[in-house]
Amino acid sequence: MWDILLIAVTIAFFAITIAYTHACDRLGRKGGSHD
Amino acid sequence: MTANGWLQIFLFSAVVLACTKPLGVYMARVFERERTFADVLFRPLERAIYKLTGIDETREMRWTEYAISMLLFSAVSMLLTYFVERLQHILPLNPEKLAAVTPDLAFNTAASFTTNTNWQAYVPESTMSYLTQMAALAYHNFLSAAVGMALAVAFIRGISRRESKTLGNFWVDTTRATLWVLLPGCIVLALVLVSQGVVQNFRPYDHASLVQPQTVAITGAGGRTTIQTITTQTIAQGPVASQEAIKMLGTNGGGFFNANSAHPFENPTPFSNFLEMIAIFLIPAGFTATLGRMTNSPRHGWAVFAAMAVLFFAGVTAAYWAESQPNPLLRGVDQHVSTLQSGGNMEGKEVRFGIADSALFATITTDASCGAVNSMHDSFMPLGGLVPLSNILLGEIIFGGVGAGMYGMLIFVVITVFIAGLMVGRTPEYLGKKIEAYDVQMAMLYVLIFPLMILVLTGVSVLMPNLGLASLNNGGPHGLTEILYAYTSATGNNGSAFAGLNANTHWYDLSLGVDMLVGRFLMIVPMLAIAGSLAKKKLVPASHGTFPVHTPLFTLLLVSVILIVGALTFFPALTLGPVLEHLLMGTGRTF
Repeated sequence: MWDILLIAVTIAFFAITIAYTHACDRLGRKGGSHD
Repeated sequence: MTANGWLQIFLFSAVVLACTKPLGVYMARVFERERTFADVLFRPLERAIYKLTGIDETREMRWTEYAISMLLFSAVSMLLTYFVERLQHILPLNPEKLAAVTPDLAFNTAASFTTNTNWQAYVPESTMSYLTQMAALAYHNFLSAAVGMALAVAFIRGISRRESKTLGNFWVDTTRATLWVLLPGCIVLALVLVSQGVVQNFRPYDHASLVQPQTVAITGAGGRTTIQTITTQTIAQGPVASQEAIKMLGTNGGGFFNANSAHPFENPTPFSNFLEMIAIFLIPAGFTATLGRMTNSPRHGWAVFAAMAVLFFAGVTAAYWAESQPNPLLRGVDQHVSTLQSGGNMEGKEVRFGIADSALFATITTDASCGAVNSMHDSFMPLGGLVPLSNILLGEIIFGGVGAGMYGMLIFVVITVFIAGLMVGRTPEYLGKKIEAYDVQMAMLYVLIFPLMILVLTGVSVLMPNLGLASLNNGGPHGLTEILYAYTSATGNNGSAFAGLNANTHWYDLSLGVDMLVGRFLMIVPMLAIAGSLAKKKLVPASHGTFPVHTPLFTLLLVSVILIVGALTFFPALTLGPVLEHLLMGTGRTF
């Protein structure tokens, strides 16, 4: 039970961080700087 | 404080200074893929790795792809480490038949080693099998360090490139960092450490009969105390030197033994101690020269080095002074330095190292996000313990971790240049690149995540007694310092601890695990965003109004910004912790 929960937490954390990466990128594009 | 103590500090500093440029230039050549003397040995290996893994070394990445590659790599590595820990009882190389690591501790340890923290909420020699230590933990010692170096290089490329959408290739940078820098350095260092007596074997632990059996009272989990007679001593050993080398060179800090570099099998002699201290600062210091070389601005690299050096000397002076003072509560006891005693506060310190080397090591390890210890920080005097805590609270940018220290310091450089621009009413420029709103927003995100995690989690732990206070051995301001230090160390990816807090509880394992992940990865993303933003900008020629970033004025402003940001953020917490403890000690109260 703990194993499943902690593996899920790990995967969720990295998924959130990837989404956060895209959010930072979108913020940069909105500001008119880049790509 | 003695002349010999200061001599050791200056000798250490001189060696680091001497190694900075050669190593920095070598690393610049490695990451810029210029020819080096080591190509004949490592280039065939590198090509073989790319062929095996299908990496196209000529392909470069945008900052988002660089970040996501790093995140996916870290996620897979962390999960694999978790599985190895949970299955170690049935995997080979476990001569002591150690049981599987518990789930919350396995999560905490996997997060810890993936983030280069190496926070160890366990006794390594009685918890982790040889396979776990080598294949899971030592693997991370190399790769988390290599990842940090790759990220720093990506940031430096962002500064040095113009009108470019890419920052390099994460897989190539990580491979090169490992093959050209970490592996050869560790092989040499490990062999020298073996010559000093650091053990390196796969033997099961030896058991020696005690000449005089010891009777001890042991209190079990249920609170029942039993008297036991101990007749044998277990002498733990194993592949220590190989782990010790990367532990220091990669600013990891996770020891083979619980006593870390205070243990005679990890750090037997003053010379091994000296080498281990040099190894911690070597790559972080070298990165200042790498910065100068890659941005074609060597004087700027030295200006950054100078800022780090000023903060380092301030810390080591304060720590050495504090630990050299007599303990005011030990009245009637001669505590002065003499030929027969070191004087000062020797509690928690090894006699073979003494006050100077203990204070120096504590300063170095908390400046550099290493976290290894050759003395017990919890036993430092309040103002002595304030130094390692403050070093981490400043953001691990005083040389800092391999790579992480450089990119952390560059965030402060961006902020400093921004503030300088505000002062004179000009658009801030950094090495020909305009610093714009988005860059400052990302820099603020980087700077604010750090205190948010430390202060919120410390507050929650203190306010919820069942969660945070149940495993605390000390009360009052010292207890607060222990909790504050734990979250500071985790967020800063340092890994050292005040040992009075038992952090192997569900609450601390899980909260510190998440804290370490946030303190590493959520801060890396805005840093890479700035790098991507800077890489795309055009070069603006310097003018009369450009704030030069290679002058003593710049160094002074940079140091001031670092201190003001740190002080404004953490002064209240420090006042309630070590400062209050020091003042109460003067009235005779201890905790």
